[in-house]
Amino acid sequence: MHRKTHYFLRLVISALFLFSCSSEQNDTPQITLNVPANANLIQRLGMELKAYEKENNVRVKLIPFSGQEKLYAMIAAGQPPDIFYTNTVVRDQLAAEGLLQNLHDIAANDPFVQRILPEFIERGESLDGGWYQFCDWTYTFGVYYNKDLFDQFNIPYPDSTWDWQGMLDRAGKLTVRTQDDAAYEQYGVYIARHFFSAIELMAGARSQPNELLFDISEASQTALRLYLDLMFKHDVMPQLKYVQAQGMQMAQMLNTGKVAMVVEAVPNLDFISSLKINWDVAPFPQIGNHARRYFRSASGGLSISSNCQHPELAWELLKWLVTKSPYNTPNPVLKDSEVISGWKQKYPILAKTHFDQVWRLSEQFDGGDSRDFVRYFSWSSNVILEQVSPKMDLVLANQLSIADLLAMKAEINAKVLRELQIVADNPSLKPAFRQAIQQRLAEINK
Amino acid sequence: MKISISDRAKRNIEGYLFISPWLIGFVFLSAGPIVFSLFMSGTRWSLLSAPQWIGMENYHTLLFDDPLFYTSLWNTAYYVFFSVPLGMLLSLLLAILLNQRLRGISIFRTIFFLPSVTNMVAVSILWMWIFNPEFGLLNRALEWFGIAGPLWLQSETWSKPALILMSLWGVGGGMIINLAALQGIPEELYEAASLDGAKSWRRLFHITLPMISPALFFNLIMNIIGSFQVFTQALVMTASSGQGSEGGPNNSTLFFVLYLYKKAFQQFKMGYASSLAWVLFIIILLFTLIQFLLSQRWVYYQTDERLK
Repeated sequence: MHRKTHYFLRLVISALFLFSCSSEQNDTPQITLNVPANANLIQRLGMELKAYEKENNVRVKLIPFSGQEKLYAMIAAGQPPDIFYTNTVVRDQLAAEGLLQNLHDIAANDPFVQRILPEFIERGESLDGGWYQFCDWTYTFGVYYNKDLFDQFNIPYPDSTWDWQGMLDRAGKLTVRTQDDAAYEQYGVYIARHFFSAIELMAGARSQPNELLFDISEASQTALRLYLDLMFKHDVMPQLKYVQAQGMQMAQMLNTGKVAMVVEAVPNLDFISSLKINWDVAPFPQIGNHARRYFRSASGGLSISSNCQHPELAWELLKWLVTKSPYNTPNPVLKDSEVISGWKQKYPILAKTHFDQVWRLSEQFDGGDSRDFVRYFSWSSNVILEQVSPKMDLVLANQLSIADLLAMKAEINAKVLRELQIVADNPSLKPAFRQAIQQRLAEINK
Repeated sequence: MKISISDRAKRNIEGYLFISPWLIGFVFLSAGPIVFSLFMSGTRWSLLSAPQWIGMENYHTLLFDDPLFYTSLWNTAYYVFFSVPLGMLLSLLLAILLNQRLRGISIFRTIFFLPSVTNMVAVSILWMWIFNPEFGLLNRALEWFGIAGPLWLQSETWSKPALILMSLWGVGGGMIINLAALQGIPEELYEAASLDGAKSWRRLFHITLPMISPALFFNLIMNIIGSFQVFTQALVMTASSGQGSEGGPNNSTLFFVLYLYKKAFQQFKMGYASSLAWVLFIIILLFTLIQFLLSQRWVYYQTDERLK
């Protein structure tokens, strides 16, 4: 070998060795935290975490990605982040495979647990009673409206006493056709498809966590009829397919004056920052004589991987994220959190609205999480949604009747039972999960 | 020059070294996963734990107990049936038009070719705007002719035609191949035909098309394979009501690969998705073999006896 080449190779090897040494950090423990792939959030959280790292002598590495594909690939490769987002379906699947830490074990003696509202612990529990998901956030919903349009048409603003008929009356007056009567210039109200379950709750439907079989209760049918009537009977709401085809965003609808009232999440940071009109928010109207039941969705939460080398540190980080991270506070999942005053202080625009009224009513009449409807997040939701979603496209376009959808129930559930039997027979699942599913199947078969 | 055995061995080693990046890439990144997916198709596997061997059950389920398999197959067949001939025809017409000796023709060639190398996600978002029923370019253009445009992607009837129409955006690739073939036709053939009194249509059908038939055949095979694998635009453009709703409305754009993707990466049924992939492979293989058999009737190579 030439002498020059020999020296060159030695140089390269030395450089590689030095590089590998320098990349070896000191003994500071590291926690990897999955965050949504959102540049603003990453930048903000990254800055906040610097102080946390210093204070707690820990390194926090952010792993930005959204969606399940990457998480599953990382788990398959044996390298999941220590803390990651899970929805209920993913939580149950991972917990059943023994891939998540049971937070009851980690936090058994931590008085902090007493600060969490009990329902948010329950929502993070799976079939075996283990607590696998820290529901780190919650929101309710309300009717955002354009006050100027109400003034223009001399219509009273909605308040906490209004009902569905009151909403229909207002929406009717606020719906305007073009002069030649050929099209609609402005609609009274818009409720997106994913908020249909809010109507269901208000119409008396009950969502049951860990349910297995598909059903559309009488209350859900009533809600579906009310929803369809908004589009096809009263003509006060744009048809879903038109809105979807145009790709219109909710805030855009209000800002452009195309729609006078829009149902959306409360609080909603996107609305707070992007609404340029004179707006307010009202509680969702009461439906008939049904008791009010406002949904309070947890939208999943954060889980700790069973591979995590420092579960206690991961738990401490979770606590910090919920209690101290300015991005996430004041956090409504904590009993002692000053949500209303804190949010008003953080976003002064809220002080001019009825945000406090909407929030208080949701606490007073907590209807549970509409995502607990079996079709959304359950052991069976994949197989149910695969069959129901395409038919719902037709129902919501008034091309298929509710009765036709109901007629599919037996067929859908037959498939659900077959899938569940496969789950119950899966030897890699933790026995507690298999037994729980087998027990439920036995009850159903009875 | 006399080459000793050791020299020959040396040359062989050099040869293998030169192709080794491709060889290693093929073995580890293509052949390995192909064999692995065949194994996986006989298992139930969610990525989370060891796969369970279930033999042919996945194939049995998809053939006899999965209506969505047939829905996706039908949607894909529909797409292939219309998009391939339309794409072939348009790429040929464009190639003929761009084969003129005009000033600045290379600019036009670049313009027509560019869309085919544009990122499909970006193209899909662009076409979502074009298909917008209220202010989209397409319905506005139809309005000029007094036609009320449909809802396109939100219409069960029009969603597939919309995606077929969009597929024409990518004809630039085929056009370039056709253009290269057109430029390889010897000028003497046209001169001889003109002397014999052949008009332009006869020249097209008796000289141009036979002479570029290998290129047309290549385009046909590639278009069929590509159309059977239609995926990105359906994934990006049809998820109007959130994740999981891709392939709507009412599964009208649930193409085969999209269905495969949903099974693999939304429901994490890797075994089932692998069996779908193998069924698609067999379908594409059959179509390709049929095309090769039929090609003997219409594809003429310059070494062909009939042209000698």
